[in-house]
Amino acid sequence: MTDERDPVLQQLFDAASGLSHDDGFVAEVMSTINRRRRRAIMGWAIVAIALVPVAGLFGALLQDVVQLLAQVLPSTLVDTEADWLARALAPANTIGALVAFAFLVLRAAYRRIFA
Amino acid sequence: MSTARLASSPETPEAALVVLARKGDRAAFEELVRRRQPWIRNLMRRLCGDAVAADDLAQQVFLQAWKSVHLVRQASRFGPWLKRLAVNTWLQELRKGDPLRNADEFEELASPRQDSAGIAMDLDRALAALPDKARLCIVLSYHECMTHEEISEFTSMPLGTVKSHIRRGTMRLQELLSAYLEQGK
Repeated sequence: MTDERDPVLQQLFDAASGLSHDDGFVAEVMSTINRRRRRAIMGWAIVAIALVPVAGLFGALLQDVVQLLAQVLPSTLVDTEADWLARALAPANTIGALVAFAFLVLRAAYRRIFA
Repeated sequence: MSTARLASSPETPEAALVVLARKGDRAAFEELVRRRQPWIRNLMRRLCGDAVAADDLAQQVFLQAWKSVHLVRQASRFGPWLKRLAVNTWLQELRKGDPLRNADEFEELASPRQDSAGIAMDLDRALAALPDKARLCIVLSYHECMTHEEISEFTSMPLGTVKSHIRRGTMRLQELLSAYLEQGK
């Protein structure tokens, strides 16, 4: 079969496509968008307000965790004798790089399985 | 011309509106909805066969478009991007829908109608009697005037399957809408 279409059916499709502009439809779409936007802003505002006492309660603990991470993540994984080799491997030879690599592997696996 | 006037002007090219909408300009997006809504609503009516459900889905399409308009890489390709979004929305709706929705028998047409709304109603009823994939291929072919190759690429169906759906779908529509076809001869 070629791409030729039945001319009478084509006429019916053309005649049926008579829907014209409907301002009510446009207004409804835009009001839904505005409503959702307002709801999202409200949601973020509530989260921000809720975070203030949480930050007060757990601020000190969070600071300790950040300090610990700042000390642990740049630690060298494997000590090398040669200075030039240590410098060359520096970006990858850290606990932080290992964590980042593990994260990338897990994310790729997740996407392969569930995507 | 100011951005606000550009966004709401009917003379502004669609690509410029898309660029503005990508930056979050709601007036530009509203103008895009205004221009594209008859096309999307018609497309959804052919696919759904139900005017109310079609308008609901068309609304969902535009809401989704607003959420992901920043992903449109080529502003000039907004139309095809929106069409894909519309078809995907319909397919998603089909997956969660009632499997017996097309089980009703198609009632014989008494006589062909002359008005656009009446023709649309009869055509939509006949289309609703087709299997989903055949209906999609037929609508893309007749309503969107896409070639078989384009439909195959668009739907990821093999070309032979698309041709077969269109051949069988056309024959079934000719049967169901015979009153119109006899009048047209």
